[in-house]
Amino acid sequence: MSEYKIKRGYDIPMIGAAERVVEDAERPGIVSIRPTEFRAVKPKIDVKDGDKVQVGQTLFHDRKRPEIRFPSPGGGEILEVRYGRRRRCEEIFIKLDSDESAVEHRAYSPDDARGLNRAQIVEALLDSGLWACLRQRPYSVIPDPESVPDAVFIAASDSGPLPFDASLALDGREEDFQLGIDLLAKLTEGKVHLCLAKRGAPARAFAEATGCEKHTFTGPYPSGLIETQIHYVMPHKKGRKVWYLDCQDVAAVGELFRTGRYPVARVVAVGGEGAESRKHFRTRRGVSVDFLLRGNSHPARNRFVSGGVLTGVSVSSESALGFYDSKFCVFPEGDDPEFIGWMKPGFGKVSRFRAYASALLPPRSPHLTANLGGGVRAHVATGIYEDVCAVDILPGYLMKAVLAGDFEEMDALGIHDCAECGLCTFVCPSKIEFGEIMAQGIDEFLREEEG
Amino acid sequence: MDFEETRDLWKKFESLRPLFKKGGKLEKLYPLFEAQESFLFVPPVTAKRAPHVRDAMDIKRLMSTVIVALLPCLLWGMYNVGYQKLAALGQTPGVFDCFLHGAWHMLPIVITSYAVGGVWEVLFAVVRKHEINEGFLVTGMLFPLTCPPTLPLWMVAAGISFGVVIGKEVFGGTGMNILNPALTARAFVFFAYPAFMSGDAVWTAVDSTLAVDAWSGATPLSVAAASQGSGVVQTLNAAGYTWLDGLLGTMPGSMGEVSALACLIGAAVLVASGVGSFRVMIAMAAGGIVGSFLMNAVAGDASPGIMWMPWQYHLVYGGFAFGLVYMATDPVSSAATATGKLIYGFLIGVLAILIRAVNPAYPEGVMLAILFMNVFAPLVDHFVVQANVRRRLARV
Repeated sequence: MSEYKIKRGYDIPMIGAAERVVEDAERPGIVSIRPTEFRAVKPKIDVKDGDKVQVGQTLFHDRKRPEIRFPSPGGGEILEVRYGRRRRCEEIFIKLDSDESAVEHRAYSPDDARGLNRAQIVEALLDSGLWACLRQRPYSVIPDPESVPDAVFIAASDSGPLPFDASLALDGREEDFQLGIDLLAKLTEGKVHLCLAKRGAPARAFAEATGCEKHTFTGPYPSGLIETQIHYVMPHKKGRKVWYLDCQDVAAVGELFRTGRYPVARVVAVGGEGAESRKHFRTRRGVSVDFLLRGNSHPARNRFVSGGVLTGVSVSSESALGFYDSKFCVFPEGDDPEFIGWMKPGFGKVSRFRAYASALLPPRSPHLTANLGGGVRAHVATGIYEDVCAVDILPGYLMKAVLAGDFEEMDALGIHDCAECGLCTFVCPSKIEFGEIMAQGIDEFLREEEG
Repeated sequence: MDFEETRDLWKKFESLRPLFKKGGKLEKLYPLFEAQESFLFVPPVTAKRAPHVRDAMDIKRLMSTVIVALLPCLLWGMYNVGYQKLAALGQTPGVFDCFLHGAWHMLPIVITSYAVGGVWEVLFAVVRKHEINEGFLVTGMLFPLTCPPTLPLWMVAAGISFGVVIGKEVFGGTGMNILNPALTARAFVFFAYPAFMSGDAVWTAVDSTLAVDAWSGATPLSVAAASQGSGVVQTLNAAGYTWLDGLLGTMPGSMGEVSALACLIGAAVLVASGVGSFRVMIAMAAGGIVGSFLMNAVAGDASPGIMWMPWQYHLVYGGFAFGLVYMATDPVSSAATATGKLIYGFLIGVLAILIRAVNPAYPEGVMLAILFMNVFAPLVDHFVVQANVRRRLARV
């Protein structure tokens, strides 16, 4: 057990965090999956409107790596395969049958499962489609099944605004979680690392977990972000690859081997001032925003974000919870002009700088929206990036290297260390899309790797 | 103004936008339209991708915070310019008189600086098709505050033109410049019209033939530079300059620079708001102290008094405090890395004292020290960046 204190970062004050209770949500009528959310995956759709599908049946696969398949989060009928511009598939909707059938894989007793070798585990994960829940650092992409990682990291903390409480998620899934750890341990020649938040007593699943190294993290956001945590435990170096996955997906791995079925259960936090009922819900993968909010949030006024507000994806109200996400955030869009807003004292404004009155009198309900808060201007190197960056890079210089397209420089300055936490973009007074620039740089590296 | 009215007014503005868009009749004036609209409204533009929330800080607020931090210097300058003038005329003026006379000399210079510099700023924005950058609000105020109250307006205009065009725009505009534009402007005026920027006569807005007999017009730094030996403090006191005068700023000098206390208040605003770099400020003060001790140590009996001057005098006299708080901290021309800022600030402090003491021809060493380190800031940063790269390569 090792402790890490992360000093730099910023806790964005945001009201409406989900209560620390878990409520069982009703069964949704429709679930969906967005092929666009998997980095570097070129989806080839295997179903069409009206097809009958089972839980776990492949809906699409990666064109470049056909063995990587993406399973259906529900059983029933394909309601719509929605295409966007340039025939890019944006979302696949499935209307659930009352009695969903599932693709049956081989089930094992826990002891038999623990006796499996690496190749068998990889094959079972690929077969079921659960492989997609693994991701690799650098690049945050689904890993190559042929490769062997130096370690596997389990993400079990959230330090961002409107946090998801991982310790609530695994109640009653302790055995599956442990089995998951034991199976994942076989994928790597190194160790399995379990990354926890320091505050509060850890859930039973984490406290009792064996066969893994536990780390605790304190400090402001992004101390709870797995990309940051990996940087502190095993920072990137040439040739090093580590895999990571969410703690709920670890339990899903255990469940898959125990039952032989693709597991769809998921606990999701719903938070933000635009959400009426702010709680953790026990629901399922692919559940839609509308369903979880029970249609109570105004889509024109609010922004729906699947995942963290700093790292997630903005989705429409009928769209689904992201494949990797365990929270929904709903907050005002803020697309109204504000009269001489920059001149006002700013009692409710949120800023890492302390140039508004809110720095003197912390507001009870800080006003935070998706508004950029000002016009886009030339980059002024205020030093604020470096002040909030939790990993050991100089973000301003890295940004310039990406803009110049200089691969050597990007590598030297640590593009693979960037946790893509979103803070640089958040604080930038010039309103530069730092995150977008980083993502471009990483994409260029990915293309380079493919040759 | 309530929500609906704001929305209506904004819509009226937006209805004009096509005129200024590409192909519109007033396409060329788009930067002016953008400046006006974004002055009145925080635009209703929202994040297109993650992060979905954004800090309320923008460049407008950033720059106007610097302006707020400059207000103590501006106000004190206004008072002091009037006070020095009336005192030289042998009067014992009231506070209001001082402000009135100060404003009479100071405001035309400030207005000229803003007007002429503003024209260049707009011109470049139109030609280069970018938004008008609010950074000029600061430059346009900093430059006049570093000038003597007697500077002819056409020189103010020439100076700010040089500062904006050569100091900033030729490098590609805000964020790209190497030198601090306000200091570039001052350096230009200093070297181009030395008779108007140095000597004892220029610092008080008074015709020396009308002044009372006891009036000399010399600044503390020129008094110290002209004296000899270790008795510099007594010489200064005899000339009427105590340390407290330096702190408060009751002495002739550049309009906004005289009061170290006003600068200190400004520093408090900048540091508390997170807008100015405390690293640069602390490091430069440390550099000034070390530099003073260094000079004191090598000073001999025949050395000019300024080499003997104790550090606490160096810090309050001349432009040291002003340069430390407002000039060295300019985010664009200073070092960009946190460690680099410490080195950069420290070296400015040492250099400023070195230039002051060793080269009495330039009693104002701060300007040259900052400009010099502006040039070397990228080099300082380079070593900091390389250290970061090496740390990464050394990982096991």
